[in-house]
Amino acid sequence: MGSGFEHAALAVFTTLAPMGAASFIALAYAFVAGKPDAETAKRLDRWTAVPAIVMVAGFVGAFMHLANPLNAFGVFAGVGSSPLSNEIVAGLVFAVAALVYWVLALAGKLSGGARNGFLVVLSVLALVFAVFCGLAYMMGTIPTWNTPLSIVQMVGYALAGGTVLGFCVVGLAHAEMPKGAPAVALALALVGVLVGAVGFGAQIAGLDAIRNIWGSAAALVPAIWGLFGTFAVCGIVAAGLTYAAGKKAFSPAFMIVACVVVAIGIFVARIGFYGLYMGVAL
Amino acid sequence: MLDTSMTLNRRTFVKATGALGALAAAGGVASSALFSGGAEPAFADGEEHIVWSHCHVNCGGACVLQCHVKDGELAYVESDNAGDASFGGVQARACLRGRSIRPWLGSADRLNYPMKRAQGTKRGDGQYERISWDEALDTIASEFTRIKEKYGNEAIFIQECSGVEQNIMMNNPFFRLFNLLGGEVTRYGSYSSASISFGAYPYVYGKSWGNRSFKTLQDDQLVVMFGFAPNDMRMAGDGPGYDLNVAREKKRVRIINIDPRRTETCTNLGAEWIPIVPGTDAALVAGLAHELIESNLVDLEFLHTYVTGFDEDTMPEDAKGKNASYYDYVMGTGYDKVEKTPAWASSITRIPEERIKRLAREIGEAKPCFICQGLGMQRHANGDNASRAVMALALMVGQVGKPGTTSGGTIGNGGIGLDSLPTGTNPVKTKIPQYLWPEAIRDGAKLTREHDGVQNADALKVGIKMLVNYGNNMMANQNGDINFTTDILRDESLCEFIVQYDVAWTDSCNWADIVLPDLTPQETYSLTAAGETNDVAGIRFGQPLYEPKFERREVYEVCGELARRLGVYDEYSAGGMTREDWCRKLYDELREDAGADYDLPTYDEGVAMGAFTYDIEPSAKVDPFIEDPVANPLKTATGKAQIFSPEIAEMAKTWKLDESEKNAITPIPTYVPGPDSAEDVTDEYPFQILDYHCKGTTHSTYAHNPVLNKITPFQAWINPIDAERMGIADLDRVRLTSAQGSMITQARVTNRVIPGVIVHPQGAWHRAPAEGDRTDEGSCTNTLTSRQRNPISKGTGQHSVIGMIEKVEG
Amino acid sequence: MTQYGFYFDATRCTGCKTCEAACRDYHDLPLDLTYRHVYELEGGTWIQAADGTWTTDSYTFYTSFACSHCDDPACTQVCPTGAMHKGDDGLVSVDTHRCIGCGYCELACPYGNPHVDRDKGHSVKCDGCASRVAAGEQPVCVEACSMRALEFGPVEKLNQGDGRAAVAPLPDPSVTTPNFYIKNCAAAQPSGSTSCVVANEAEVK
Ligand SMILES: Nc1nc2c(c(=O)[nH]1)N[C@H]1C(S)=C(S)[C@@H](COP(=O)(O)OP(=O)(O)OC[C@H]3O[C@@H](n4cnc5c(=O)[nH]c(N)nc54)[C@H](O)[C@@H]3O)O[C@H]1N2
Ligand SMILES: Nc1nc2c(c(=O)[nH]1)N[C@H]1C(S)=C(S)[C@@H](COP(=O)(O)OP(=O)(O)OC[C@H]3O[C@@H](n4cnc5c(=O)[nH]c(N)nc54)[C@H](O)[C@@H]3O)O[C@H]1N2
Ligand code: SF4
Ligand code: SF4
Ligand code: SF4
Ligand code: SF4
Ligand code: SF4
Ligand SMILES: [Mo]
Repeated sequence: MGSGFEHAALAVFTTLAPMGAASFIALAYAFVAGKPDAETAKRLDRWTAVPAIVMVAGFVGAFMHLANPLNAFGVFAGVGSSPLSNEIVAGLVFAVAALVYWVLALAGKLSGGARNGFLVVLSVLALVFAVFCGLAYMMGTIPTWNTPLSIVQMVGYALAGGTVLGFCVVGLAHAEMPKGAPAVALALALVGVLVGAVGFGAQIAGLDAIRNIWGSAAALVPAIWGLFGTFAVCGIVAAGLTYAAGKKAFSPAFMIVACVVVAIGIFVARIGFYGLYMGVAL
Repeated sequence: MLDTSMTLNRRTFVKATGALGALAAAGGVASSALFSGGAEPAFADGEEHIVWSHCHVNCGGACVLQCHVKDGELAYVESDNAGDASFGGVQARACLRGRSIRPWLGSADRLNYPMKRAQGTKRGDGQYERISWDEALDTIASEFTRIKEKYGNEAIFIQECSGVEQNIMMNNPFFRLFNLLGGEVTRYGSYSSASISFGAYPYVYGKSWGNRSFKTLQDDQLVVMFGFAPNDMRMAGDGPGYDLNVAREKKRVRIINIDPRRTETCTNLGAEWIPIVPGTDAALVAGLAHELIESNLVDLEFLHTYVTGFDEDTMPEDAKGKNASYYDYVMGTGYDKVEKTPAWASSITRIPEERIKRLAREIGEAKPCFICQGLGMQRHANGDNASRAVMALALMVGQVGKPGTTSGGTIGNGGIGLDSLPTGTNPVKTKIPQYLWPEAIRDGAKLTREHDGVQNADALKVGIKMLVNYGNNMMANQNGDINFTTDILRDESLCEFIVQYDVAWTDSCNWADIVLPDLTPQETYSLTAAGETNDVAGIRFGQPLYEPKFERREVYEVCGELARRLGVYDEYSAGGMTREDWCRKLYDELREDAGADYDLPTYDEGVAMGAFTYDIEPSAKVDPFIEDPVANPLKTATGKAQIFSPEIAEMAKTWKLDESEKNAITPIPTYVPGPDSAEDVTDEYPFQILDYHCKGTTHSTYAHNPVLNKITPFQAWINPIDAERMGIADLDRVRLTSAQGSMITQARVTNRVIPGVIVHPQGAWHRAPAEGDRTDEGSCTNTLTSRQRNPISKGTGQHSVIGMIEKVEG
Repeated sequence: MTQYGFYFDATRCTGCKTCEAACRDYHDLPLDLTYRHVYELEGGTWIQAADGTWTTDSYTFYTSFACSHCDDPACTQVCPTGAMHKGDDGLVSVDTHRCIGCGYCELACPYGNPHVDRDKGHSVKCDGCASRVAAGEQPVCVEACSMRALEFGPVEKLNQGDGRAAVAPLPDPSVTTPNFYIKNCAAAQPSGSTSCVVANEAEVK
């Protein structure tokens, strides 16, 4: 049992990778509702490097966590049985699909409906990935994690983080958005924060009922509600910043701050989550 | 060695034949190498081979160590896996300490070179510089000669050698050498058992008598143990703890353990624990006696036949008519006119009155009843009396001298008596009590027979001026009251020359003038008989695991070098015999003497086998004294077992007690709370602080082994009720303080200790500055203990401590 | 397929930890790692009567355990690479060439057994002393126990005692179906009991 910080590399992974992936939801919106012209689309495609980098950074975190990353290809052996393999595969499926999308887009091979269709698929895959990120922690022998709330919160974090990051790309690309965009961004981000908070909060509220020989799960992370609050505040602040930035064409300066704020919030929540590790017995 | 009523069962001779099989598995080393018995066979690099040795420290055991050696290093240890592995079979399986010997052998604290105290520094400053063996030996030889010439041989003292106890060699080479040169003042008693051996057995039974091992236990019988912890301190796989475990299961014996702490015997084992206030056993026995008398459960016929002093009828003639019997003491007609009812005893022992009454009935009705004591109880102030009291209890119910019983004293052991290196004759006859060596340094000629128990002289002629410490950590770790002791050592005008010869840089080294690096028993030739902790008859043969490393040298050779310098080498070495020669010779002598009783292999066969073990079958015989007390009297003043001792009655008149000894000399084993007893606690010192011999160390030997420290840390046990009152949580850093000193340790909040008492293992390495407040960061309990000594035996009373526990931050 | 397992007689165990020490020595384990744990559990209370005397219903017991080489191992189920696997002898061990050191086995095992050794680059655990067993010998811990409280062998020949271990601090055997059989001592508390606490935290953590 530790503070959760011993899993910091994993927290980096589960913060950044789903955030990067889910930013495609906002991108989908930007393309579907914003109907960018070719030039803007090109800029958007270039700035799509940002979510890609964020995702890669997340995967680097996952790699850092491994004691022997050289054997990493072996993870496919566990597909279907190991939730970790499933998670990695879900992430890779998304990554490969996103890469194909991006290459085609940069090469100008995507237009209109194809692009939009692709983006919708990627949005769905991003959420599926987030679901698998949560599923990876549902192990029968870890009662504190073994709850659908582990999934719910991951989906929420992905949506919150992804929305902010996605609109950051919009801002960086100076893409013109419809009038309702700030409200949409705000709504998406807040829904993410809400879902994340409900997932995490309900998990915390259930800790009292879980004990092992060392004591109650409620005692694992004494400041757990503080971490929850940090996430909620960061999430709302980032959503607010996004809305405010939206009024100024998603001003990149604001959006970068918003990205950092939301990432910090999610990271803090993830650290809390790992701190809640507790086995059935020992 | 304690008495034994054992016979050997020849059918159970077990050869430890694992060697060849295991070797085959380990890579097929030619078996002839094993039988060479001589120099270490040469093994190719990377080849693993087995070298047999044994663990031998002062736990009273010598467990088999089957050492897997590779590239000149110990790779790992197996123990005795030959013979009968079943529950009840005998295998000298090593305990956790023996199994963890590898980090001990390779410890960063090992001594590698001779050292001398740096010029201009004082003892305790800890400044040393490396010197050559020649310089070290020249210095020792010349100091010996100087001191002998200036003060006489009585000024030379060789400390006990408990660190290397199970061996034919021990520190005998020093005695052998010095005896050739006029001798040295010697000691009697021990830290272990001074009070029972010198304050109880001689006066109750004339000498140690009637002790049987747990192997004598009968089906469904009762065992009552006072402060005995065989699963903490007799831990070998063929030892008393194991025997008791086997009897509990196979013979369904019921065990009651009276102790301030829940010992390992009372954990999983399903033995009953009766918690008692430390130092109050004599009161408990008096309360039990009262109930036995009231319930007609005393064996009067037995008492009137075999025992002196239970009641008026059995008092010696000249002591009659004085209401001085034990009966009078108990029933309130004795000297103090206080009736020792169970209620009285319960107010002192804190054992409920009802439980005392029931215990009396259980003891009175059980036939046979095995009543025994450990040694912890007698290491308290007035341990002499407590020890005698428990013997009196066994006598009152007639449960001694026959199968299923012991003497009320310790338990017995079988074993093969193997002689150790002969030491010759010591021309100096004067002896001092072991415990009083610091006083003998400080006060010298002030130590007398009647006040300090000096033997064979009315007083010492001179204080100790040269101190040889081989295989002990007495100077700053194991002796009662370290601050007192080191104050004496620091003053070079008192003891002028000190040698510490050890394997590790313990704190005692910091108080020596010359420090010598020894080989451990596993690094040289060794031969030993199975000890008290191995309740079997057996011999273990030890061969060096590897060539000596650094400049470490073993004691026999080193004393030989001294002998050359002092001109007695030929006599010393009996014409050039080596350590290995002595092993062979002493074994051959044993084989000749014991050949009729045992089927012993030759020395070379033994070396190849590594060890052999005979099981022992308990004797079904009744002791001759019990069969016919007139024809076979005991060696006491009255020829009987004595609850009242005329010898002690005489001492009570003539001996002068130290002012600090609040204890008294009483002919019957009355309860006399000594100094620093439960009755003395104050607001400043509200707890009794008791130490004990824990599984994680053998005293200070092994106490720096990080593996053992991890799995059995040094912690102060405190009852949850006390912990709450003192604001202490489990694993808190705490300070223990007594009038003698202060130490830092870790708290363990546990139900395993009676409220009002803190228990802490002894043996941890003392780590404190020589000046200032001298707070010990090493958890060494002798920072807290006092110079309590017992009135009759002059043995240590260092378990009697009162003090304080407080949380410290950090 | 053979299935090897352990049997532990808690009525014989004295908590001496020789089993653990021997395993540490044989496998040359670093200080902070052990394949065998000896947990000391205690519970109960002390009551002082009006006359100042003490009574207690407190109790102490030990549970010595290593990997239970479960029929339904949590560790293998979560392992992404299949490095954690059950051999033909039923012993569960790590294929060090496949392990990525993700630590999921460590998180999942309810017997606290596997541990990722970052220096070695893979997880390590009690393998039932497989190489000794293959050579017809007993595991080191079993041979070390001075009280003969530990046994090891094919489960069908093994002492079954009170059945698969269902004692604190271990999980209910339904969780992983451990091949760890136990004879309980009088003081034993069942799996999941909250009336006893770990008494030797510094030693086992
Ligand atoms: N407070 C308190 N003090 C006690 C006790 C107690 O219960 N409470 N118990 C007392 C008792 S019963 C005893 S017997 C004594 C024991 O006390 P000591 O006789 O001092 O025994 P150890 O502490 O084991 O120290 C033995 C020394 O021998 C060294 N040694 C080990 N092997 C070798 C070797 O091969 N060669 C050499 N040269 N040295 C070696 C060790 O490093 C260690 O320094 O302590 C007594 N002190
Ligand atoms: N593991 C281990 N084993 C050892 C040793 C070691 O250092 N470590 N040392 C060896 C040596 S040299 C010796 S002399 C023996 C020592 O053996 P002992 O002297 O018998 O051992 P102790 O632990 O001092 O005391 C035994 C028990 O007596 C209890 N006790 C203390 N005071 C009282 C009291 O007033 N009344 C009652 N009823 N009980 C009391 C203690 O709590 C303890 O449980 O052990 C030997 N064996
Ligand atoms: S019981 Fe004594 S001799 Fe045997 S291994 Fe333990 S410490 Fe060594
Ligand atoms: S060695 Fe045996 S008695 Fe000692 S702790 Fe292990 S299982 Fe228990
Ligand atoms: S005890 Fe743990 S490591 Fe061993 S098989 Fe069961 S789940 Fe796996
Ligand atoms: S650490 Fe190795 S053995 Fe354990 S789950 Fe990961 S890949 Fe499998
Ligand atoms: S079977 Fe081997 S590896 Fe497992 S605990 Fe026992 S000694 Fe250690
Ligand atoms: Mo001793």
